[in-house]
Amino acid sequence: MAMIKLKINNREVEVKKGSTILTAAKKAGAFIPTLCHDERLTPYGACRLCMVAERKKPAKLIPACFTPAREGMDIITENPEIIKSVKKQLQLILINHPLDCPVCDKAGECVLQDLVIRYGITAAPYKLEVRHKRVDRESSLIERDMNRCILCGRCVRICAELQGRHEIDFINRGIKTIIGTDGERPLDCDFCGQCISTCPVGALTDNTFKNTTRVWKLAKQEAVCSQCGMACSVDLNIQNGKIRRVTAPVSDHGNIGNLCARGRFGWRAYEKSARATQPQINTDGQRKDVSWPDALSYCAEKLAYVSKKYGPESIAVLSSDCLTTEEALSYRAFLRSELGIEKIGSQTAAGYRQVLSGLLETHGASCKIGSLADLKASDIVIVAGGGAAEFHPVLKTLLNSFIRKEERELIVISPWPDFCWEKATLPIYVNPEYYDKFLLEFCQSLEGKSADGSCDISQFGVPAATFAKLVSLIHSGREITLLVVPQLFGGSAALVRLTSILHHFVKTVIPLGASVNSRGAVTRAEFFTARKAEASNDSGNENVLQKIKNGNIKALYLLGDDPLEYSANPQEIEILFSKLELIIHQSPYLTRSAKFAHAVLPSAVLPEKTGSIIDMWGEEHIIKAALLPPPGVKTDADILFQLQNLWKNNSAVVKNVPANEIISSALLPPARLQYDRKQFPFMMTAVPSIYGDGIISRQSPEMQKLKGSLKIVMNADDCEKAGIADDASVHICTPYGEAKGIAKLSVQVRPGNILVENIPGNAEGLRLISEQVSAVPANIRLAGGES
Amino acid sequence: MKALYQLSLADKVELVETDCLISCQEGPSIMLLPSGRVAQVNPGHNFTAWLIANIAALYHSPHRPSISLRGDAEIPPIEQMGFFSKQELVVMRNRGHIDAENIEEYIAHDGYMALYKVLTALEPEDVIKEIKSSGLRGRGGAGFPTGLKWEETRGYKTNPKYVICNGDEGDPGAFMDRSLMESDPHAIIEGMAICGYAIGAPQGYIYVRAEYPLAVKMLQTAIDNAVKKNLLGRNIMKSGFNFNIGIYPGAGAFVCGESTALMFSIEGKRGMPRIKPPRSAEAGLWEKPTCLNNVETFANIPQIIRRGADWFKSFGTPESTGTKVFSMSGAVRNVGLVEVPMGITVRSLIFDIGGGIKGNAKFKAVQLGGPSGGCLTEEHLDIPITFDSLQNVGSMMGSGGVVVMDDTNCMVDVARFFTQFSVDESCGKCVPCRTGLSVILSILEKIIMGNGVPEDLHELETLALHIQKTSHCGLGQAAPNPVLSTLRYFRHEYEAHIYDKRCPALVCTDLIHFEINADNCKKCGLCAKVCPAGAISWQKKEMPVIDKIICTKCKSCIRACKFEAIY
Ligand SMILES: Cc1cc2nc3c(=O)[nH]c(=O)nc-3n(C[C@H](O)[C@H](O)[C@H](O)COP(=O)(O)O)c2cc1C
Ligand code: SF4
Ligand code: SF4
Ligand code: SF4
Ligand code: FES
Repeated sequence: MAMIKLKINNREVEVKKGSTILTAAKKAGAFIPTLCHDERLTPYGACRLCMVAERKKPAKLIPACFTPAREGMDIITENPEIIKSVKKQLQLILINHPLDCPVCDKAGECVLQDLVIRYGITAAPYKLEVRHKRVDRESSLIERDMNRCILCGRCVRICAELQGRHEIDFINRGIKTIIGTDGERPLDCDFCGQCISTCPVGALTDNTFKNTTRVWKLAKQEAVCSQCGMACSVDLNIQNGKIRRVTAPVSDHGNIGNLCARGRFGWRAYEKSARATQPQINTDGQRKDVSWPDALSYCAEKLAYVSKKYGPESIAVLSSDCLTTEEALSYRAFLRSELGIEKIGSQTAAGYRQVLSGLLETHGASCKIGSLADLKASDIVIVAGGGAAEFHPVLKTLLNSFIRKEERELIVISPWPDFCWEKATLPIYVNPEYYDKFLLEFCQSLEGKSADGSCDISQFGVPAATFAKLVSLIHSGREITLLVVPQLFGGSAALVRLTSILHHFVKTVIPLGASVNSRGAVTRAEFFTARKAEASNDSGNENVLQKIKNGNIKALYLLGDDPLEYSANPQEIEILFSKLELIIHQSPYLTRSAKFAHAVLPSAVLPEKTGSIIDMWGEEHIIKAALLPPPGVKTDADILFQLQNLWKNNSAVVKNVPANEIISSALLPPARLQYDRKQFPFMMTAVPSIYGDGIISRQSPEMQKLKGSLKIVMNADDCEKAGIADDASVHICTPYGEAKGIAKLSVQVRPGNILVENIPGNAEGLRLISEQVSAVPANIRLAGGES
Repeated sequence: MKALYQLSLADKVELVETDCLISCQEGPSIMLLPSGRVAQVNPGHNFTAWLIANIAALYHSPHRPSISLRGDAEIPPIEQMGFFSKQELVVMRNRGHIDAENIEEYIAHDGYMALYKVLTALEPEDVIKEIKSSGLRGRGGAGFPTGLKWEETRGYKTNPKYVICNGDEGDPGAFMDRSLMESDPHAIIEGMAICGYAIGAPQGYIYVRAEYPLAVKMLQTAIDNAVKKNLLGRNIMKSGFNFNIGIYPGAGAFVCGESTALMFSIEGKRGMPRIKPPRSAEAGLWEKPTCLNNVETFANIPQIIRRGADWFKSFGTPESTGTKVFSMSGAVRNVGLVEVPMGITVRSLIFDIGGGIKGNAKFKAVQLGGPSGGCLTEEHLDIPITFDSLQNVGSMMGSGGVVVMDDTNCMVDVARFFTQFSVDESCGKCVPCRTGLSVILSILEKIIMGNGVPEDLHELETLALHIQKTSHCGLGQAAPNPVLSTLRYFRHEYEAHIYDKRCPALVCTDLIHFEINADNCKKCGLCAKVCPAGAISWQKKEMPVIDKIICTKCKSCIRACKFEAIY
């Protein structure tokens, strides 16, 4: 990149060609006032505060935030003319800005306030009759007070440019301009709060923070968000040991100051009120509050007993991948050496693990697992699978920035029209019924085997030309990053196969769908090692349930995970659970399995831990405990430490039990139910929610409220035919079960397709699906009406 | 037609409906071609009868001067009329001479010859060279050299490129572009196609103000006809050059005339100017290289190509070549569109062509360049009208609006009027324009209502300069011109409002006392007669008395009084 040299306030700096004067000034350490500028966004030039001048022409004011620096420029950032202009601008802005700082949450971190003080604006020479503007108090989580808005347009730009939502825009013109939604309705959006984060004044504020405290009383503690595998950097704003709000630190790497709804507003899931805080044991059908030592002795004894009686293969461990790497390593060491357990499975991160294990298995150490930098530097991103940005919402900001550069391609192959599909340069919406088949067909064509024409391509709903373009882009020789998105539930064998074939054609592969430390759990702590004889889709937990059914498993150790909230057919699992001799529910939350558990061990959440995690890009984050666990709660590390102590003192310890081979013939999948396809004219796909489906998001009252009940998204024409209005209450039934939900009309969903959101954690919803297939036949009827 | 049949001339005369024949102060008129004689209707005449008489007169006596049925003066052939003799019709040459809906007529007037020449004999570089050497500068306001703009756009290699014709014409009272689009659409189309060839663009758009349905219709017909004749479309005249034109109806905001806002508007976004760089030539419409010119700019192109740069340079001054269409309104005798060579003096424009001030009022000021142009005074009458000379005295060429004011205009009120326009049309993006102009407006209103204080003048001045200096786009940068220029040349009027609480031109109602000045009053009682509210009581040989409670401040009395006795 060509560099240019220029002088700022007599100081020489060198910047990349094309940089703005503002960038150069920052580099030179010179201050330039700005209000409408945000590093993350394209410059806009609205506030006119950032004026500078060339030494030779001191009276000609140049806006620094978008004027490119030129070689040899001699810039001064302050002279009487400039100061006069800044003051005037601030005075003009103040005309339309109420001085209600005492009741404004922004006070103390308001850019306008700071500038007014810096420039000593005390007099208000101008008066205008100011019309009162709307305050939107109806929107969930965000309050919009247009009286305070200075129309810098940052919220509009962040919502459009990074979030890709276009939820808000300028309305009216001239002095009557305001920012609003179409029709002035309350916000109905991602609730990422990005707009709040960029608003320089108090026009957009966080309702969960409203009137709780003053910002200068908050201590910002660096942390990572634990609500998905992106592990975005956050600042926990803490007062008296309690989180008051979450903000994103300004930085130039990782999530570069971006957050999603979960990360910003989901923090109440860490609060005591959402948590399990009392160890309990359940003996003889009696649930008892017990002390930690009692609970742990109970667990140690029972574990030893089961292990001794049935062998190490009789104990299954499932983790939600929220352990720190250090914890994960200790658990793994303990479980392996003391109990002979080889694998620690996961239900929540099942899809991620499946893809990753598939890759590790076929490509071993030479496997090209990529990083964020790889993604940013590639020419083409292929997203294989639906729901990438729903799993990891901050991915939106990355992909939107990615495609803004010229000549880049975003290919999205999905069985439903997800966010990425909408933004793709090559969107491929595959008929969900034949999605797996399509993936396999695609594998064949990549292997050069598909010339036989035996396959009817029309069933995929993908035009031949699109398919041809896809193949030619893959062969184009340009650098490709592949993002692999597993299905929300099960059935990703075809995807695993495709990943392993595409691996040859791409620069890097990044599996998505990870929990916060899934990558650490897998790559560092080796929670599962795919061993030769086992089926490639065995990511360590696949068959746990099957094994319980077969009577092979007698004890279940849940490390934050909960199959009852994340697997098909929970009633059946409940019955299976009742057959177990031991269930240890070690989790921050009393999720559904707690009801069936023999021991409940309240564990800490990530912000209460110290250690490290590895995000899904492979970046390691060192974390320091920002909060104390609520009384009665221990970190997973502590729990293990004490458990190990008890173990050592316990005579029942079983050492070095050799691993049994699994009899794979016993693991036949259940026979498909017999049903009449005519009764189920639709195809239903379970899709992730942008507000989070993970264990933590589900405990946040804010996210719960945004999610509401089951959301059943249907094609608008289908709805019209069936007489279903938007937001109508409907029943959906599949061969497996039936559930109630709210209908949402969509023009993008194809006729005949149905998407169902918010299934995880919803017992009724989980009954609709099957672990075996990605899409299930379904039918719909209005609640109360006849079929 | 009925008229023609009655005269049994139906086979000899073709009746063609045409656009306005230029001088608006006259009523409907007919022109006989090829002689170019005109006749105008006398209000109160039966139109058909008038037509018959005139057509007959014009047709049967080709050697006699044509007769106006007004019965006063005889009307000379059009070229010799005072209004027209100083004009130089280049872009308006076809106006009223051809049927805009008939492509054959345009072709018969050498239409599409330039495009033919370009496609068959010239390289794109030659075209650009010719336009550059003609010195043509953009007629949309800023006067940017057209050839340079084309050259720059050609220089970018991204494809496709676009040509945009700016027909937004948001200036109130301006209608030169409208008139061109309605009367000679093919000239614009031909100009755009030549531009497309020169810069390498296959697609053009004409952005037409939504309030111009007739222009849209005429342009669409013209495009359709041109396509039929393979003067647009694929492989034009078998040259291998493809060029299509689409029409885009405007969003109805003044600021959408600004080039980047216009492009956003075509893209379906909000019409707000954006920052530069990149310039439109590099990344304009849909972020592709785009060349945007004004209607009149394009209309000039075919003739420059056909007749050569030197011919074009024979009009105007070295820096401002060619002609310019102005739309004259206000206190001049002849209002309407005029086309004059650049460099003509303001005086000549107003007095020779405009016919001087209407009635017996006195010339006071002239505002050039649309709503944000500056007001010039008597002392500026002899400056030549060029881009630069106007700029130097705080006014501008703008799109070519000329508003002439006589001594019945209050300059503070004039400033308020134009500021109000800018306040209403500001897009609201940047602080100085959005808020600053409103503050200026409020100060002006205060002064007009008699509440002005001496500091207001200083405040107006600094704020206006601040807005001029720091606004983002041309709207905000130019909007303070009316205030600044009136402050500069008519400060005494402001002072009268502030110190004496008096409006010298008797315009600002709040500053009129509605009392009779005994020194001037001749006790004629005319005021009492005209007062519609019956607020003035008058007895013969007595001073009239105005009852201020009944008075509605309609100013009828002031206008009626011949002795300026009411103040
Ligand atoms: C607020 C504003 C309004 C404008 N309106 C018009 C307009 O109505 N018509 C026009 O041709 N140019 C208008 N312009 C000028 C255009 O931005 C642009 O400079 C011009 O169309 C370029 O064409 P030209 O080079 O042929 O003059 C306007 C500029 C501004 C700042
Ligand atoms: S919360 Fe996010 S999606 Fe909603 S308006 Fe703000 S930036 Fe846009
Ligand atoms: S709401 Fe905030 S970010 Fe949005 S335009 Fe107003 S001041 Fe700027
Ligand atoms: S100067 Fe006025 S019209 Fe131009 S961008 Fe700024 S606010 Fe909009
Ligand atoms: S920061 Fe440059 S105009 Fe606002």
